Amino acid sequence: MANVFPKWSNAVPIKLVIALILTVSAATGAVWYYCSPNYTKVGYMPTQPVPYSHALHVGQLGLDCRYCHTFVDRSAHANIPGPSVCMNCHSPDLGNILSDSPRLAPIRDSYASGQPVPWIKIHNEPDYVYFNHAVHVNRGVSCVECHGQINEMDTVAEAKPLGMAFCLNCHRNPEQAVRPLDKVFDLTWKAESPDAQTENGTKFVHDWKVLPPQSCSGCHR
Amino acid sequence: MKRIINHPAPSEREASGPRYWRSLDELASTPAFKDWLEKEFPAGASTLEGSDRRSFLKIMAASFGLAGVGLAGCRQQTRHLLPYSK
Repeated sequence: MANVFPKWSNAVPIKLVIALILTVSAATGAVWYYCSPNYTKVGYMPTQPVPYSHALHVGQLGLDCRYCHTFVDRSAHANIPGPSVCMNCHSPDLGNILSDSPRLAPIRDSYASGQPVPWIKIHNEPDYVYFNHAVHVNRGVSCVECHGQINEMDTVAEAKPLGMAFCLNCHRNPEQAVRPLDKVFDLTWKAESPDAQTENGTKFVHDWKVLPPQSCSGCHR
Repeated sequence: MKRIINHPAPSEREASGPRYWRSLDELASTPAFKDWLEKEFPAGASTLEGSDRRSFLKIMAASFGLAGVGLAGCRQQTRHLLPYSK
Protein backbone atom coordinates (compact mmCIF):
# COMPACT_ATOMS: atom_id res chain seq x y z
CA MET A 1 0.00 0.00 0.00
CA ALA A 2 1.31 3.42 -0.93
CA ASN A 3 1.98 5.96 1.78
CA VAL A 4 -0.99 8.19 2.41
CA PHE A 5 1.09 11.19 3.49
CA PRO A 6 4.27 12.25 1.67
CA LYS A 7 7.56 12.31 3.57
CA TRP A 8 7.63 16.11 4.06
CA SER A 9 4.50 15.93 6.16
CA ASN A 10 6.64 14.60 9.03
CA ALA A 11 7.99 18.13 9.53
CA VAL A 12 4.62 19.86 9.41
CA PRO A 13 3.74 19.71 13.13
CA ILE A 14 7.04 21.14 14.33
CA LYS A 15 6.88 23.86 11.67
CA LEU A 16 3.36 24.72 12.71
CA VAL A 17 4.39 24.98 16.35
CA ILE A 18 7.33 27.24 15.50
CA ALA A 19 5.18 29.45 13.30
CA LEU A 20 2.57 29.70 16.03
CA ILE A 21 5.15 30.67 18.65
CA LEU A 22 6.65 33.33 16.38
CA THR A 23 3.25 34.78 15.49
CA VAL A 24 2.06 34.94 19.08
CA SER A 25 5.34 36.47 20.25
CA ALA A 26 5.22 39.11 17.53
CA ALA A 27 1.60 39.95 18.31
CA THR A 28 2.30 40.15 22.04
CA GLY A 29 5.34 42.34 21.50
CA ALA A 30 3.48 44.63 19.14
CA VAL A 31 0.59 45.14 21.55
CA TRP A 32 3.00 45.48 24.46
CA TYR A 33 4.78 48.39 22.79
CA TYR A 34 2.34 50.00 20.38
CA CYS A 35 -0.62 49.98 22.79
CA SER A 36 1.36 51.40 25.70
CA PRO A 37 1.59 55.10 26.55
CA ASN A 38 5.30 54.91 25.72
CA TYR A 39 4.22 54.81 22.10
CA THR A 40 0.79 56.45 22.12
CA LYS A 41 1.57 59.47 24.29
CA VAL A 42 5.27 60.25 24.49
CA GLY A 43 6.32 62.74 21.87
CA TYR A 44 2.88 64.22 21.22
CA MET A 45 3.71 67.72 19.98
CA PRO A 46 0.69 69.50 18.50
CA THR A 47 0.98 72.90 16.87
CA GLN A 48 -0.44 75.49 19.23
CA PRO A 49 -2.41 78.55 18.08
CA VAL A 50 0.39 80.75 19.47
CA PRO A 51 3.97 79.44 19.27
CA TYR A 52 4.71 80.14 22.93
CA SER A 53 8.24 79.04 23.78
CA HIS A 54 8.89 77.78 27.29
CA ALA A 55 12.58 77.63 26.40
CA LEU A 56 12.60 81.39 25.87
CA HIS A 57 10.32 82.47 28.72
CA VAL A 58 11.45 80.01 31.37
CA GLY A 59 14.86 78.85 30.22
CA GLN A 60 16.31 82.19 29.12
CA LEU A 61 14.23 84.83 30.91
CA GLY A 62 13.76 82.81 34.08
CA LEU A 63 10.00 83.21 34.45
CA ASP A 64 8.64 81.19 37.37
CA CYS A 65 6.14 78.44 36.51
CA ARG A 66 3.62 80.03 38.85
CA TYR A 67 3.64 83.37 37.05
CA CYS A 68 1.34 81.80 34.45
CA HIS A 69 0.23 78.51 36.04
CA THR A 70 -0.86 80.48 39.06
CA PHE A 71 -2.76 77.91 41.06
CA VAL A 72 -0.54 74.90 40.55
CA ASP A 73 0.51 74.90 44.22
CA ARG A 74 -2.97 75.64 45.54
CA SER A 75 -5.36 73.63 43.39
CA ALA A 76 -5.73 70.23 41.85
CA HIS A 77 -5.41 71.72 38.38
CA ALA A 78 -2.51 73.67 36.96
CA ASN A 79 -4.40 76.43 35.24
CA ILE A 80 -3.65 77.73 31.75
CA PRO A 81 -3.22 81.52 31.87
CA GLY A 82 -5.72 83.79 30.23
CA PRO A 83 -4.64 86.39 27.68
CA SER A 84 -4.41 89.10 30.35
CA VAL A 85 -1.30 87.38 31.76
CA CYS A 86 0.40 87.56 28.35
CA MET A 87 -0.71 91.16 27.97
CA ASN A 88 1.16 92.16 31.14
CA CYS A 89 4.25 92.27 28.94
CA HIS A 90 2.93 92.13 25.39
CA SER A 91 0.34 94.87 25.53
CA PRO A 92 1.22 98.28 24.03
CA ASP A 93 0.06 99.94 27.25
CA LEU A 94 2.10 97.90 29.73
CA GLY A 95 5.25 96.12 28.63
CA ASN A 96 5.07 96.90 24.93
CA ILE A 97 7.16 93.87 24.02
CA LEU A 98 6.38 92.67 20.49
CA SER A 99 2.98 94.25 20.93
CA ASP A 100 2.37 94.31 17.16
CA SER A 101 3.73 90.84 16.40
CA PRO A 102 1.38 88.91 14.10
CA ARG A 103 2.19 85.72 15.99
CA LEU A 104 0.57 87.22 19.07
CA ALA A 105 -2.58 88.18 17.20
CA PRO A 106 -4.70 85.37 18.76
CA ILE A 107 -3.76 86.67 22.21
CA ARG A 108 -4.74 90.24 21.37
CA ASP A 109 -7.97 89.08 19.74
CA SER A 110 -8.81 86.98 22.78
CA TYR A 111 -8.01 89.87 25.09
CA ALA A 112 -10.25 92.18 23.10
CA SER A 113 -13.14 89.80 22.46
CA GLY A 114 -13.17 87.61 25.56
CA GLN A 115 -13.14 84.43 23.48
CA PRO A 116 -10.49 82.02 24.84
CA VAL A 117 -7.39 81.04 22.87
CA PRO A 118 -7.94 77.40 21.85
CA TRP A 119 -4.76 75.88 23.26
CA ILE A 120 -4.38 72.19 22.51
CA LYS A 121 -4.15 69.95 25.52
CA ILE A 122 -1.06 67.74 25.58
CA HIS A 123 -0.83 66.10 28.99
CA ASN A 124 -4.15 64.37 29.43
CA GLU A 125 -5.19 61.88 32.05
CA PRO A 126 -8.44 60.00 31.55
CA ASP A 127 -11.45 61.07 33.58
CA TYR A 128 -11.14 58.00 35.80
CA VAL A 129 -7.76 59.17 37.08
CA TYR A 130 -7.59 61.66 39.93
CA PHE A 131 -4.48 63.78 39.93
CA ASN A 132 -3.85 66.70 42.24
CA HIS A 133 -1.07 69.10 41.24
CA ALA A 134 -0.94 70.95 44.56
CA VAL A 135 -0.32 67.91 46.72
CA HIS A 136 2.60 66.81 44.57
CA VAL A 137 4.17 70.24 44.23
CA ASN A 138 3.86 70.95 47.95
CA ARG A 139 5.60 67.68 48.82
CA GLY A 140 8.70 68.33 46.77
CA VAL A 141 7.76 66.68 43.48
CA SER A 142 9.04 68.99 40.80
CA CYS A 143 7.32 69.77 37.49
CA VAL A 144 10.11 68.00 35.61
CA GLU A 145 9.29 64.64 37.18
CA CYS A 146 6.17 64.37 35.01
CA HIS A 147 6.54 67.08 32.37
CA GLY A 148 10.23 66.67 31.53
CA GLN A 149 12.54 69.58 30.83
CA ILE A 150 9.82 72.07 29.96
CA ASN A 151 12.36 74.88 30.33
CA GLU A 152 14.19 73.56 27.26
CA MET A 153 11.16 73.03 25.03
CA ASP A 154 10.39 75.50 22.25
CA THR A 155 7.24 73.58 21.52
CA VAL A 156 5.89 71.58 24.42
CA ALA A 157 5.72 67.85 23.87
CA GLU A 158 4.75 65.07 26.21
CA ALA A 159 8.02 63.77 27.63
CA LYS A 160 6.93 61.00 30.00
CA PRO A 161 4.37 58.24 29.41
CA LEU A 162 2.13 59.35 32.34
CA GLY A 163 0.53 55.93 32.45
CA MET A 164 -0.27 53.89 35.51
CA ALA A 165 3.12 52.15 35.53
CA PHE A 166 4.80 55.56 35.49
CA CYS A 167 2.72 56.82 38.42
CA LEU A 168 3.20 53.66 40.48
CA ASN A 169 6.93 53.60 39.84
CA CYS A 170 7.20 56.90 41.68
CA HIS A 171 4.58 56.11 44.32
CA ARG A 172 6.59 53.02 45.24
CA ASN A 173 9.93 54.88 45.40
CA PRO A 174 9.05 58.45 46.36
CA GLU A 175 12.54 59.11 47.74
CA GLN A 176 13.82 59.13 44.16
CA ALA A 177 11.60 62.07 43.23
CA VAL A 178 11.17 64.42 46.19
CA ARG A 179 13.50 67.38 46.38
CA PRO A 180 13.93 70.41 48.67
CA LEU A 181 10.76 72.50 48.61
CA ASP A 182 12.55 75.62 47.37
CA LYS A 183 13.85 73.73 44.33
CA VAL A 184 10.50 72.43 43.10
CA PHE A 185 10.15 75.16 40.47
CA ASP A 186 13.87 75.21 39.70
CA LEU A 187 13.68 73.01 36.64
CA THR A 188 17.44 72.81 36.21
CA TRP A 189 18.14 71.56 39.75
CA LYS A 190 19.66 68.14 40.11
CA ALA A 191 20.83 66.34 43.22
CA GLU A 192 24.61 66.22 43.54
CA SER A 193 24.58 62.47 43.10
CA PRO A 194 22.14 59.56 43.04
CA ASP A 195 23.27 58.67 46.57
CA ALA A 196 22.55 62.19 47.80
CA GLN A 197 19.11 62.05 46.16
CA THR A 198 18.32 58.78 47.90
CA GLU A 199 19.63 59.98 51.25
CA ASN A 200 17.89 63.37 51.21
CA GLY A 201 14.77 61.88 49.60
CA THR A 202 14.45 59.26 52.33
CA LYS A 203 14.81 62.00 54.93
CA PHE A 204 12.16 64.19 53.26
CA VAL A 205 9.76 61.28 52.86
CA HIS A 206 10.07 60.59 56.58
CA ASP A 207 10.00 64.20 57.79
CA TRP A 208 7.11 65.34 55.59
CA LYS A 209 5.18 62.12 56.14
CA VAL A 210 4.93 61.48 52.41
CA LEU A 211 2.65 58.49 52.00
CA PRO A 212 1.95 58.07 48.30
CA PRO A 213 -1.09 55.78 47.93
CA GLN A 214 -0.63 52.54 46.07
CA SER A 215 -4.18 51.29 46.47
CA CYS A 216 -6.58 51.49 43.51
CA SER A 217 -8.75 54.08 45.20
CA GLY A 218 -5.82 56.41 45.69
CA CYS A 219 -6.16 57.59 42.11
CA HIS A 220 -9.30 55.85 40.80
CA ARG A 221 -11.62 57.44 43.28
CA MET B 1 -63.83 9.85 47.02
CA LYS B 2 -62.74 12.71 44.87
CA ARG B 3 -64.05 16.04 45.90
CA ILE B 4 -65.47 18.14 43.15
CA ILE B 5 -65.35 21.85 43.76
CA ASN B 6 -67.54 23.96 41.62
CA HIS B 7 -65.82 27.23 41.12
CA PRO B 8 -68.00 29.99 39.82
CA ALA B 9 -67.56 30.43 36.11
CA PRO B 10 -65.42 33.46 35.23
CA SER B 11 -67.31 36.41 34.01
CA GLU B 12 -66.82 37.60 30.50
CA ARG B 13 -64.59 40.43 31.64
CA GLU B 14 -62.43 38.09 33.72
CA ALA B 15 -62.04 35.64 30.87
CA SER B 16 -60.88 38.19 28.41
CA GLY B 17 -59.06 40.49 30.79
CA PRO B 18 -59.07 44.22 30.49
CA ARG B 19 -58.38 45.38 26.96
CA TYR B 20 -55.43 47.72 26.84
CA TRP B 21 -54.52 49.65 23.77
CA ARG B 22 -51.14 50.99 22.88
CA SER B 23 -52.03 53.68 20.40
CA LEU B 24 -55.04 55.57 19.24
CA ASP B 25 -54.76 53.77 15.89
CA GLU B 26 -55.07 50.44 17.66
CA LEU B 27 -58.08 51.65 19.60
CA ALA B 28 -59.70 52.91 16.41
CA SER B 29 -58.68 49.65 14.69
CA THR B 30 -59.13 50.86 11.13
CA PRO B 31 -58.58 48.34 8.33
CA ALA B 32 -55.60 50.30 6.99
CA PHE B 33 -53.92 50.14 10.38
CA LYS B 34 -54.57 46.41 10.77
CA ASP B 35 -53.10 45.83 7.34
CA TRP B 36 -49.99 47.82 8.23
CA LEU B 37 -49.66 46.01 11.57
CA GLU B 38 -49.68 42.56 10.05
CA LYS B 39 -46.85 43.23 7.64
CA GLU B 40 -43.48 42.59 9.28
CA PHE B 41 -41.62 45.35 7.47
CA PRO B 42 -42.93 48.58 6.02
CA ALA B 43 -43.55 48.62 2.33
CA GLY B 44 -40.41 48.57 0.23
CA ALA B 45 -38.05 47.70 3.08
CA SER B 46 -37.05 44.34 1.66
CA THR B 47 -36.43 45.52 -1.89
CA LEU B 48 -33.87 48.28 -2.28
CA GLU B 49 -33.62 50.11 -5.55
CA GLY B 50 -31.02 48.40 -7.74
CA SER B 51 -29.53 46.23 -5.03
CA ASP B 52 -30.68 43.46 -2.80
CA ARG B 53 -30.52 43.37 0.96
CA ARG B 54 -27.72 40.79 1.12
CA SER B 55 -25.22 42.77 -0.90
CA PHE B 56 -26.20 45.94 0.91
CA LEU B 57 -25.45 44.33 4.26
CA LYS B 58 -22.20 42.87 2.93
CA ILE B 59 -20.97 46.25 1.78
CA MET B 60 -22.05 47.99 4.95
CA ALA B 61 -20.31 45.36 7.10
CA ALA B 62 -17.13 45.81 5.11
CA SER B 63 -17.40 49.58 5.47
CA PHE B 64 -17.81 49.42 9.23
CA GLY B 65 -14.96 46.94 9.48
CA LEU B 66 -12.57 49.07 7.47
CA ALA B 67 -13.59 52.20 9.30
CA GLY B 68 -12.75 50.59 12.60
CA VAL B 69 -9.53 48.92 11.48
CA GLY B 70 -7.38 51.55 9.99
CA LEU B 71 -8.86 54.83 9.02
CA ALA B 72 -10.64 56.54 11.85
CA GLY B 73 -8.77 55.58 15.00
CA CYS B 74 -5.26 56.54 13.96
CA ARG B 75 -5.07 60.06 15.20
CA GLN B 76 -5.16 61.17 18.77
CA GLN B 77 -8.23 63.15 19.61
CA THR B 78 -7.51 66.88 19.78
CA ARG B 79 -8.50 68.29 23.13
CA HIS B 80 -8.58 71.99 23.80
CA LEU B 81 -7.75 73.96 26.89
CA LEU B 82 -9.83 77.11 27.01
CA PRO B 83 -8.71 79.50 29.73
CA TYR B 84 -11.07 82.00 31.25
CA SER B 85 -10.35 85.17 29.39
CA LYS B 86 -12.62 87.92 30.61
